[in-house]
Amino acid sequence: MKRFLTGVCAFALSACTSLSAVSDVSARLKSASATWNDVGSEFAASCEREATLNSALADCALESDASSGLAAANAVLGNYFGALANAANESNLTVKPGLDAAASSVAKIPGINADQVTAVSGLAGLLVNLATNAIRERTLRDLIERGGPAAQTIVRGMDGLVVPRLGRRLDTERLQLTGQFGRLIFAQRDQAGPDPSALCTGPSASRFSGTGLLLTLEYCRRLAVLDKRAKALADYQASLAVADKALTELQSSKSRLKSRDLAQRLYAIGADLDDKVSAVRKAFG
Amino acid sequence: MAVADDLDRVSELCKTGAKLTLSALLELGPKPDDPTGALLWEQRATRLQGQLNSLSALVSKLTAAAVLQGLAGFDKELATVGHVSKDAEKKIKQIKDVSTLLKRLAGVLDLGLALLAAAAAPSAATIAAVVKAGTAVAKDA
Repeated sequence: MKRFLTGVCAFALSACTSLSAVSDVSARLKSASATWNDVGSEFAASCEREATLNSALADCALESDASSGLAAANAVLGNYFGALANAANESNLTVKPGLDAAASSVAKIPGINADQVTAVSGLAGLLVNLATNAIRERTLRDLIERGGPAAQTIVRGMDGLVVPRLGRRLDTERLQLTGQFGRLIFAQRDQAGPDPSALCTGPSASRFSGTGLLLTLEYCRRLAVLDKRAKALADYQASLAVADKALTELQSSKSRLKSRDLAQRLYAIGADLDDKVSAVRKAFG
Repeated sequence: MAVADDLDRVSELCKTGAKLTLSALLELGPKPDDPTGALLWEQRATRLQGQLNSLSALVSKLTAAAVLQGLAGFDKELATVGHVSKDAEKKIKQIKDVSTLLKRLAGVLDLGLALLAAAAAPSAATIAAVVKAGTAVAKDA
């Protein structure tokens, strides 16, 4: 449905101005940055999960700091994308509702020529509209020119900052989990084998002692959570790459933000971003 | 980034150590039935589990420290993006303020007109119009 609507919008560009494409992709980027937060919070979450089994962890203060730091960086990006969306959204940069209200009130004054009021307010509206449109485009260009390169550096940096490290963190949680449950199952004199994760598929655990079976079930439950998170890391990485592409498009087209080609590309990027982000949201949300 | 890279390297070493320790732990197999073998198994398993716990905790701490170090490398970019966003929101707010001001002006004009009408011909309808216009001005204020 989402793809269909995006397609309709892309084809009916006469109805959707190119600035609405900028507004659309910026709003999607803002929503993506909120989802990236879920990924960043996994440093603390992974530590807290492991802390229930590993007394050597003591606390997760440092991990929480790392997650908070990433949340703060995502918030800065989210505010930037929000400002882009606001500046590109016509209803935020118009005085028309106020002007119409004032003109309608003035027209009610006894003795006033209502036709003249309408004509003057129409002219004023036109001039104000031209001025606000210019401010709107200048604000957008300024946002893209001054903030775009820095935002892109951060988005690219997030990939290297989060993906390999969270991958390592999740891998190690998996090792610790397997060690802990493998040892406990072995202690029941049940045969966990050299790869206890194999117990999560097939009937091997059905022959275990009662305690061994319960341990296996809990091990597999925890492992499933970890697998889901680890798999979604690739989607997170892909969503960063799409955001990077969106920022590149905006920067390379900053002087022709109303171009139809740009609008088409931005709608396509927006749909792609949504796909990646929804996969991340499902795994981490 | 150098400190973060060093932290990553040590963290990777710890992860490799954790992997080897896990292999050794799983090689122990099920706990033997004989009391001596069981005691020996218990000692080895506890020692290996302790090692695994320590190495995993180290990976967690070193990785978190590397993230914090890495983030510090983006201070300049984060500050720039933050400033640019604030400037833009300020401009948007200024225009919104003008529109709100015009709406308020319209409200005050409506109240004035309602007052004039009520003074000229006081009736339930004109007084109700004054109350309505007054409420609208109070709401916008």
